[in-house]
Amino acid sequence: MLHSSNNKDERNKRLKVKAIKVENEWNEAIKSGLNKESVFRIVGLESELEAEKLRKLREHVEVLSLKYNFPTKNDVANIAKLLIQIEEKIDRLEGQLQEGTTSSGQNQDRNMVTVILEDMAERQAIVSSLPGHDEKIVRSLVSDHDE
Amino acid sequence: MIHYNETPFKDGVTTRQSIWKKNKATLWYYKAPVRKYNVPIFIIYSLINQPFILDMISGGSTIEALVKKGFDVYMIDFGKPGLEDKDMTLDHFITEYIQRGVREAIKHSEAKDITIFGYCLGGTLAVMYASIAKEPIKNLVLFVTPVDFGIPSYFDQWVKALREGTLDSSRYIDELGIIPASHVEAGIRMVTSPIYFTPYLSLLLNRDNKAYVDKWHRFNTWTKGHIPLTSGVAKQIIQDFTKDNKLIKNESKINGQTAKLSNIHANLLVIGTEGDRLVPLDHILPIMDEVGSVDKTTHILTGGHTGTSVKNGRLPGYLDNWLHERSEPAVS
Repeated sequence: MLHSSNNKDERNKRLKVKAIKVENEWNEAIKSGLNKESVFRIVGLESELEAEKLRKLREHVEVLSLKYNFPTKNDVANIAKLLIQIEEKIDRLEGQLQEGTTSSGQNQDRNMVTVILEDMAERQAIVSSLPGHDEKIVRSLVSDHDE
Repeated sequence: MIHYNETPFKDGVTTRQSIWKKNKATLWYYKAPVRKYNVPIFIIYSLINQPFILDMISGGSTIEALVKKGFDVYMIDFGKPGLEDKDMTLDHFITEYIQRGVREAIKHSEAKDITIFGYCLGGTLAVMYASIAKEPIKNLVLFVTPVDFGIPSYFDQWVKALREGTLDSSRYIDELGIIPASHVEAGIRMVTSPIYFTPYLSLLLNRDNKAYVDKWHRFNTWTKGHIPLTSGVAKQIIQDFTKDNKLIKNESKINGQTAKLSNIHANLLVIGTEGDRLVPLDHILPIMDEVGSVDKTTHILTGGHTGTSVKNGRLPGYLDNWLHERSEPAVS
């Protein structure tokens, strides 16, 4: 049993090696056939022609989109571009906000409001940001309902 | 139907969390179950393939091996560009995505410095970024990364004609705006293996091996899962790399700033493979003479373009040892 399994493995290995050899030979033949300046020139000229065709087609589609009132892929791309710009602006603002928070971090303790006394029954708290400047804040009933 | 266009397996196998997004890009965070190193790893993958190859299968995943080893890992996934991104160049990818991503990763990890991993073209981006970076890069690890395009490894006659300037392909690229994934795949196949049947023979011979079939299916999905390339990047690769070979000559510019390789002082590990048809060693190794790093190492492996950073579900010895010595083991 073990012997036949070994034979099978050996056969598969030989098959694989032979297949790799054939594949490599074919690939090298294709690549050396294509690797010529003349082929490059043909590809280049074809790409020029194709570019011209694409340009004309794009222009036609733009005209048709105006005539028949449908958006082109460029229109969609332009909207997506606007969204990207908005995202970048928000990103920048977020960064500035974070920088601001970090730089004012040292003053944070001073600016923080301290709750001196909280009266749950009266829904109010006495707070202070500066000694001697107490202030009453009444909790909104609406927010309680929302909760 | 919503997921019709999504690539299967793209989410990988390791638990991750998105910590920053920009346009189509996402910065993923893979938390180590037990953090054993103070220097996190930031991975930059190529622009033409999807990065899930690094976390494709449990027991064969680079990212899984790194987090198990105790590294916090961050990876930037650039996503698939659309027509609206057609003007994006390498400069955009480097300054607006990689640099921003690294800053976010450093902020998130609260680390003093960071290790950058770059794979293939992602490695080229990592080199360019490292040459202008203001962020504290402690280690730079480059896997099969081309930096010197002087001697063409394939289609030398085409490169010769391109360098002589007989033809300009930029018009077609401009008209397309985005090089479709099918074109990218065709290009890669043309320079590596135009005919491709041995993987199917392997599948046939191993059809009874469930684990092999599963791995084959995942790998095949990755092989065929190329992503579109923006016309800005395509033109820059042709002009700056293939035609003018600017990077190794220290002539590359990123947003007007010269990318001087001598500005790179991070500890450097360069990995290449002897059998890589896409990125041969003479495209990889010249970086060693150009960087300003004092601590620099090369490691040459046997094998092809992939599978350089994981072995039997673990980090290969050369990588494990190199990282251990340079990643500040956390004091427990």
